[in-house]
Amino acid sequence: MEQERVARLALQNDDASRRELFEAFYGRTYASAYAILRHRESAEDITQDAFIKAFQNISQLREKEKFGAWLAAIATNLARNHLKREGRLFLSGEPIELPGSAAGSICCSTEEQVMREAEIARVRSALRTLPPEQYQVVIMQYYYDLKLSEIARLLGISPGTVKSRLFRARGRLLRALEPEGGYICQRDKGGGEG
Amino acid sequence: MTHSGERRQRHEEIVREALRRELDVVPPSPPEQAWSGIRAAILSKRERSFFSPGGVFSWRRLTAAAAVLLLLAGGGLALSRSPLLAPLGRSGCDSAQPEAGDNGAMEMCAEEKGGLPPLAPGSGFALEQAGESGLLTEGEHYPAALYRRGDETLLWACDSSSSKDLQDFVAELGRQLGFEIKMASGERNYNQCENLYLEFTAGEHPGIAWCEAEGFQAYLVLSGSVDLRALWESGVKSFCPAE
Repeated sequence: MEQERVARLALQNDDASRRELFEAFYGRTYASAYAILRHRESAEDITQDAFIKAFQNISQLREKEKFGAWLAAIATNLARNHLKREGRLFLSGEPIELPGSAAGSICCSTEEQVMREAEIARVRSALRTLPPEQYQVVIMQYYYDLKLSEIARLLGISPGTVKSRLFRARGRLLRALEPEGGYICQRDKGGGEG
Repeated sequence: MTHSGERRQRHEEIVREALRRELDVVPPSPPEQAWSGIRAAILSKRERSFFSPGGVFSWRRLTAAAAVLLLLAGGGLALSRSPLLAPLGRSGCDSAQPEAGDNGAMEMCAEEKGGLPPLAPGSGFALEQAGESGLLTEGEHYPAALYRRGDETLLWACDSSSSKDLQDFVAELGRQLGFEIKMASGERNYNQCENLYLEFTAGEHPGIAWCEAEGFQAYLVLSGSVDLRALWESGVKSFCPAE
């Protein structure tokens, strides 16, 4: 859906326009929540809650064309809070393909395409192991194409924190592409640990 | 475009494609019951906002709400600090909660095992002692190591779990060392990749701290004169998508 249409629908904010936004953004919002929660029913509940919060507060969204990113921020925050309430950090299990997801079934006719598909698969696996707060900023930047300052405003955190999270996430994703990694920091197991 | 620039662009394209495949889910259709629940929640809130249970418009509620708004406006309180996301960003989503301990780093540290201090053999520094606690105060301290190259001594320390940001990490390092920290500058971007680094002094010892994928690290010159920046640059890795 084009940004202009998104902005128009968000501005109208009547029943019909909300329905259209719901149908346009439900899938990706659900996928964002599911990536953190790894539980279908929870992801459905969180997605529904995210839409409710978004529609109830949509008048506060100044850049209406960014409704999708804003909704994703709400959903991923709700998902993170849900994990905290349940006392879980995050789950990094085996990748589970969501129904209807583009699973990379492109026919590879060249060696380069085969390698690219393998790299994409590795990055997808790496994405699923990202801690929720890193995953959140990664989708804001790479999927919704937000600038650092916009991500910071959207999430209510400092640009420095955004940069820090992105830096760490990029490191993980880079390792998925280039397995020879750098340093791993280990907490001191010697006498100094309190 | 340079080779490294092409590689970065390629990496970025792969990440974007990976995300598209993750998120561009096409469900058969969004669940109708989800929409019904959303619609009901929105409608019920609107009805509750100015109507008493009897369905009568409440002027008293309207007057009270107006009085609160006037008080807030008169007191100069900002209702929103975010141009995109006002109170929702503060309470509804808890997005402004301080990142105590940065769960991301804790989670990373929890699942990663093993690791050694980072200095490459080509730097000329030799690892003298790892897990050095003599320099640091009693109790919990950062993993650390001492390196020596002739009469130059370098302290390396890292943290992957508790620091909120670079400045927090350096401040805590200073506390552990018993040195006063002075930041030479605010956090700087190393290059167009926006790798973050910070120059500081701990007492009279120059230091440099940076973000690495797995956390924060720092070098501190304990003796001799070391070109910290060059040392760091020779070892830093960056994944540098264009913003």
